[in-house]
Amino acid sequence: MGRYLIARLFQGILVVLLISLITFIIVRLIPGDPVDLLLGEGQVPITEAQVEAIRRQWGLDRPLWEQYLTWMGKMLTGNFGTSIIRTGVPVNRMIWEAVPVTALLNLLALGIAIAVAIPAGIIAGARRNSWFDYLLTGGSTLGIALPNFWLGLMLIVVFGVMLRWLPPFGLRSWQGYILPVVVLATEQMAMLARVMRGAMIEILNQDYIKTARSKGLSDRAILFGHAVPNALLPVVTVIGFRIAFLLSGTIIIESVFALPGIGRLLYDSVFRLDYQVAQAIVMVLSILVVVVNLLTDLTYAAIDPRLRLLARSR
Amino acid sequence: MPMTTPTSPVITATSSPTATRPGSHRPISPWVRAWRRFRSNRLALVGLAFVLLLILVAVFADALAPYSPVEIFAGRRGQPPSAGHWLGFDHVGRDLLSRLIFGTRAALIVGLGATSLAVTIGILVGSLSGYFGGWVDLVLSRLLDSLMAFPTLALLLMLAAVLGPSLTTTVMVIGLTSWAAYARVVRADVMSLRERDFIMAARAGGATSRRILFHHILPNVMGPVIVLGSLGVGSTIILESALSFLGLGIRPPAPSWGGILSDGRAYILTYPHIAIAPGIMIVLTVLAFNFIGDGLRDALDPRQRG
Repeated sequence: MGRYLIARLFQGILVVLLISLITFIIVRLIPGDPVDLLLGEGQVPITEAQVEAIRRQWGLDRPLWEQYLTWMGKMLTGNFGTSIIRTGVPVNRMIWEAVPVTALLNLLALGIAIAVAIPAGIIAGARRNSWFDYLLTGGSTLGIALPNFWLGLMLIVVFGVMLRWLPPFGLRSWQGYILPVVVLATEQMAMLARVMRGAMIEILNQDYIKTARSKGLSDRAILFGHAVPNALLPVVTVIGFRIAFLLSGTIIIESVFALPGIGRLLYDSVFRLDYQVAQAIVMVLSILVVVVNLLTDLTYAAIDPRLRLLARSR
Repeated sequence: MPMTTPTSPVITATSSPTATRPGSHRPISPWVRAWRRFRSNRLALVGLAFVLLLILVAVFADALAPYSPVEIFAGRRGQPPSAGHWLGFDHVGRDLLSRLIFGTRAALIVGLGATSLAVTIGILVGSLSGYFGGWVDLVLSRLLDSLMAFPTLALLLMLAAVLGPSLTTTVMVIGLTSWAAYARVVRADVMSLRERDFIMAARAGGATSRRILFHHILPNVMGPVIVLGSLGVGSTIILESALSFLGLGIRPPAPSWGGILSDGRAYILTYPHIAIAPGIMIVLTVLAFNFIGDGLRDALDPRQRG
């Protein structure tokens, strides 16, 4: 287990390094010069010397590899620098201001999705081909095909424009969270319910379930004593590995509902050529994904005795 | 987004000696058998019919669309559906039905093009990684992990900003960022196939690595890859519309479903009808491709029946 942990940790660090390199290169390749943009693209009279001074101040005159190493070095100490466009505002502060919105959005959505999809998937899997099963399978098939941003728009039309029950955009009150959370939860629910149902069906076909049945165990005992705990295993990993998708969804949903979260900040900074902010956000997001994936792997290894044995025998 | 990851190698393209038509000695081709299984899945047939219809619409868009997708009708901006204009007008007064019909082209070109690109890269990376193992596998696997850890949309956003929004860019960026799932499956399949007796026999017979890979291993991983690929078209179309929705996909005024949705979002409080039809088209198209994918899974990969 110890060696496995170290190997996985090392892999994770390697992935983060690779991502930092890719991100750095891509962000530098975005056409347009932030200094120009900052100075209103030639509308403000300014001399070459002043432009040079600004470039020097931000280190934009250094060779790329030096800029990368400086950035990485600072990042290791938790310092993401300051925004070029919103002059002088520390990137850390911009991110910390946006994090609570995104975190609340995702945790609520994931919580609701788990609370609904897991029981629904268990019932559908246990009562295969019942009306409930058909309903759930149909619903999740539709949910997977539904682009989340369109669902968001339609909910805005119905609840924001026609019924006027909820605010269509923004976060002026807590009610602004309702529609985006519903949209994000729907997407996750469709996926999780499908995985949970599939896992239940697979487990219920296993020999040990037949054994349990033949020794006279009640359906209830079989379901909750044997089937559900085993079927939950793959679902745990799916939840963990879907974190990257969840965060992708946030980017677009925050844009649809004009919410001041991480996704919206990323979108804005890519358009404003705000290098420091865009890089920092992508790094934070991918480190988060790597950490969650690592934890998922370890959880899985911890709760599945078969994997524990495998790791020991290696 | 649909993600299935078959891990077991499934030999479907090799004919088994028992499959003969009654009264004849000619063996039935495995593709014919696959088609028969596919045909028995009604939803898959409906999906196939819908996709064929879409292809026709895309090819004959010029003849089918009642108006030009970029023609502006002065004074009719934002008008709701009427008899002459079934879907009404958008925020600058363009006929929405015509824009929707022409938008089919972008959706199909990106959906099929980007998925083919991703599948090709996935097969290449996955088979190299799985067949050669060692440091090749180590390097490629970390690349794959990095790609999986990137929130796809963040990567797409940055890449599209670098390359500038256009149809080609959209195909390229989606293709270049979504091959990881295919590579992972191909890698696992190739790794287990590599150890099989028939590969050993080929190697003993003096076949080169290239021959073994292309003639013996790859034909056997095509089944799962085709299934995954057809399921991937749906998510590619969603990604394309998401990118266009964010203003980084198909460049306006060229019509795309995501682009119309973007207009719909900007004018949702005044002209809510703009956003309805393109969304329905996306849902139906994605459903159709997913149904085809499910049908293909049952047909090509009977062990994976879900």
